[in-house]
Amino acid sequence: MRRGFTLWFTGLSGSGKTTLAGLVEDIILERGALAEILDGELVRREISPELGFSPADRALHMKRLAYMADLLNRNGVNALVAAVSPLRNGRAEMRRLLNPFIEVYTHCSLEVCKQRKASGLYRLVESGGVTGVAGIDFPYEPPERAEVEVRTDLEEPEESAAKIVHVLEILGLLPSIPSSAFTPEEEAELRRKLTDLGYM
Amino acid sequence: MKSRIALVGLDGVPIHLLQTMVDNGVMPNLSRWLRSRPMRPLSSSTPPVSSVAWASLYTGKNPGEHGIFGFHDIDAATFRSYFTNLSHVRAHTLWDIAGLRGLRSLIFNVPQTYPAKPIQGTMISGFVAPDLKKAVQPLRLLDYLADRGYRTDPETGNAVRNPEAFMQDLFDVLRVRGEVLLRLMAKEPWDFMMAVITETDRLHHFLWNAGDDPAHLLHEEFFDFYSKLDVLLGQLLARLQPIASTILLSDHGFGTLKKEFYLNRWLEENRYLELKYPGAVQVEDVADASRAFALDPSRIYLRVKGKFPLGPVEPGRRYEELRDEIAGRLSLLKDPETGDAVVREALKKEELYDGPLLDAAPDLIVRTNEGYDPKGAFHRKTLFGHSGLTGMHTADDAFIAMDEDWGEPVPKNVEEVGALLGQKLLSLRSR
Repeated sequence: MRRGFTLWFTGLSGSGKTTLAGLVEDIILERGALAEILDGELVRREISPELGFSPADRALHMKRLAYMADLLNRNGVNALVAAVSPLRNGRAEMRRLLNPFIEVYTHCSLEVCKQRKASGLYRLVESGGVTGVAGIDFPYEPPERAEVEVRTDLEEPEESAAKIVHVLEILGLLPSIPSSAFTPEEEAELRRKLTDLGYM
Repeated sequence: MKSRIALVGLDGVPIHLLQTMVDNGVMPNLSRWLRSRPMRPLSSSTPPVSSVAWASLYTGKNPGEHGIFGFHDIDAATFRSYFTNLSHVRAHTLWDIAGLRGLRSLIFNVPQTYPAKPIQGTMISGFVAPDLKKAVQPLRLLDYLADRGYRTDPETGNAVRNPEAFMQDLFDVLRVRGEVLLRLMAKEPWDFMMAVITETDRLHHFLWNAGDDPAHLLHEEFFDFYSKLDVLLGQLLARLQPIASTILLSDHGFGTLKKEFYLNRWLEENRYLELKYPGAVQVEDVADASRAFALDPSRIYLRVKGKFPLGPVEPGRRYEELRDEIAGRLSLLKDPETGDAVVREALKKEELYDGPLLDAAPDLIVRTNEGYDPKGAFHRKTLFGHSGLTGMHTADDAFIAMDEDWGEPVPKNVEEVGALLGQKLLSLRSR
């Protein structure tokens, strides 16, 4: 059985990690492979409600995510982890633990993130109900060299998902679909152009 | 090395022509740039056709590894032909390597990059790109390109009948090409840029004789084209100089086309090829009894049993004997008008290529002598002829000029250029 890979989505809350993970999961499944999303917020709520946002708690949360991802990978399931994971050394540790590991940076301006999560997390921050939020009162350290960076504040989600899938294809982790890029009309045009230039 | 890398391509420009333009004062901007960056000859791919040459360059590999042997190819198992595109490239590209290192690429009008892929950066596909909507990534640039009237290629259908209109169209396409490239360079983030001007190749295919012949109607316009190209190059290279370690090159050269040589007609006359019916025009009309056929521009395939459906050629010794026989007979072919030898050599695939896709390669690749342009058309009734084109691709007189910080040695062929770029991308840091 081929070992699965881990796609690690990192970015501010509201940057589109979960949305993209969902789109990519669909594509992976369509291509006949197995995939499972590990949503950081969901895992905190369901499995780790006791954890806060201290450095030690953040590290433990990530370690638990990595453990579950590894378990999935060992059983041929590709893991799509969507977690803010704000610190570089934390993500570096995940890269050390999981292989293949593909880091996806969902790059999105804080303003757009706030608009997307206006009724949720960022409202709580403004009301003082929660602290230690990455990008507000806790640092978010963007990746220096993620395998994929997507600008979710500038691109459509499908465009970002296509970039991620393209990288998986390049790395040989997902079979690509042979593209018959030409319609009959396009083929006729191609034939004409190549004939004009003496190639046919 | 600077913090960015740029490659600017002039499709189909031979070193001697560019030197002439520089020496005669037609290209003062380029002349200044070349003062500290001497031009050297560069060899193209085999065959020296843009789809193969650029794929070899942007993968740093030979066709036995990247899988592109021409604009048109054949699926041996089904005997169906198809037009090659970027999806058929089987090796990592330079922009793939860049993207995996967190570097963004601007890939502009590079031939054999259609359909455009969702890369880290920007991709505007080059020839052949029949649908602009599939030639642009990210899609948000489509409206801008459409508004500018951007086209991948000038209209070539009337180039022979109406060369004046064709020349005007070349100027128009070049102007918009330059404007769009300069804007994208300024507005889209990039660490690695690869941009190609293809109008030079089109000019040379149809109007090579205009450059040669002072009495040609468009002789002045030929040089005016290069003057306008020089203005664009001046702007481009000036903007690149402070920020990017730059390479300027061409993918193949050009020379005078004396006669077209129709390979399939030769195979037919020598009983290697049968067509299903008179007037057949496509490879699918090759009869089952045929032992060989040709695809553009110079590729000969043997219909080997087990590889092609109903292929009559036994693999092993019979295959080798047939290859040697065809190569030997081709080498004896003389131009009936001049007595000149037409074919310089017919090379076996394993002499030229290596890699996992060697089996898909043509069995023989024909190199012709100067002026004889090999063609893969099926409908020709004579061995030699003319279709209105006046220039033909040449293999060993492309050019390369590089910023000093690239160091030595200078690559000798397009594949080595790609390998060098790939190596430098591995050490580039994202900004």
